[in-house]
Amino acid sequence: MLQPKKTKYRRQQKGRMKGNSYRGHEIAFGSFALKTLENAWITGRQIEAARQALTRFMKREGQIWIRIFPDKPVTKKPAEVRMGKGKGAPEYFVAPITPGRIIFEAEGVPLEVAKEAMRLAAQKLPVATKFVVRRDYVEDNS
Amino acid sequence: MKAISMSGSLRENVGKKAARQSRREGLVPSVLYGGKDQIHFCLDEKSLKKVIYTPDVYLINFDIAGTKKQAVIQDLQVHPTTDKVLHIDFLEITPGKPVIMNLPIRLEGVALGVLAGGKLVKKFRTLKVKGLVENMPEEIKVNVTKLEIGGTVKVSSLTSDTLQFLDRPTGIVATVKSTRAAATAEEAVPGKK
Repeated sequence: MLQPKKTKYRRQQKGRMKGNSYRGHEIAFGSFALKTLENAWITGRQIEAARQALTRFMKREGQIWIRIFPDKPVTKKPAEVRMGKGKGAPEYFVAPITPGRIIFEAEGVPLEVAKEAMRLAAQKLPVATKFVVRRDYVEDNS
Repeated sequence: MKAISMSGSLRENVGKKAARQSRREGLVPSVLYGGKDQIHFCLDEKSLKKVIYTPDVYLINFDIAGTKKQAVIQDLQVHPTTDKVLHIDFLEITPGKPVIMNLPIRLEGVALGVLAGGKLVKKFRTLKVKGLVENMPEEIKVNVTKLEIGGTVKVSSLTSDTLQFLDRPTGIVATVKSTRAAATAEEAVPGKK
């Protein structure tokens, strides 16, 4: 599961997400990609589940890239604890993403295989997504 | 290098409001620079598809309100979610002035390593080159026939009289990777460790 090796501060404020993703919204490495259409906090577990679905369908052929990283700690108070007494303990890490962000990229498999693999991966994520192909992609040149 | 002709109309107003209006009308706001003056103009979205959704690089002959110009695509902005083209930068071609372009790579021949069961992998899709437009080929042809398993073609091994390769010389353009089938076949050969 993806998470930072060390963090400068243990807890972070929530922050706000607005607008589209003007960074990381274009395919940089592979030929196919999964792009988000909503904003959300994607947890490390969700990324790992989606990655497994992707690689299993691709039968470990080709190559994949994960373009997001969960570096934001989310805290949680224990059950049955009264309010107050400070912020809770860090529980897991999330990657805040806004519409347009590329989540996964793939290369080295046919288009139909990549499309189905990305569909299966998208089912593990809490956002609406779309499958995108590199602008200069041609089937025999992949 | 492939060439294509296009006509555009000058933008009367530059700015967000006018740009949005032209996008609604199916036009793409564009700019042409690199020559004496910069020209702001609009292009038809449909006519652009041929030069954008392709691995080929085109030399574009523009006719902008009666003015003839030659240019190449320099930069492209797309919408994050809809992937619609928002704006295009064109670099004007001045005779005798070299330009930097990304040319597609084409691997030629069947590598020896592939015949032995390896897999040919292309690491670069395009190569950044500098040269005069009249000397620019459509694509950079790389001969891979002599490549064995584990062999590589590096940027430094590519030569051209008219072009200068700007990617790092140690960058690997193509390689033949060993596959499981090739590895097992090698082990099965008696006398080989």
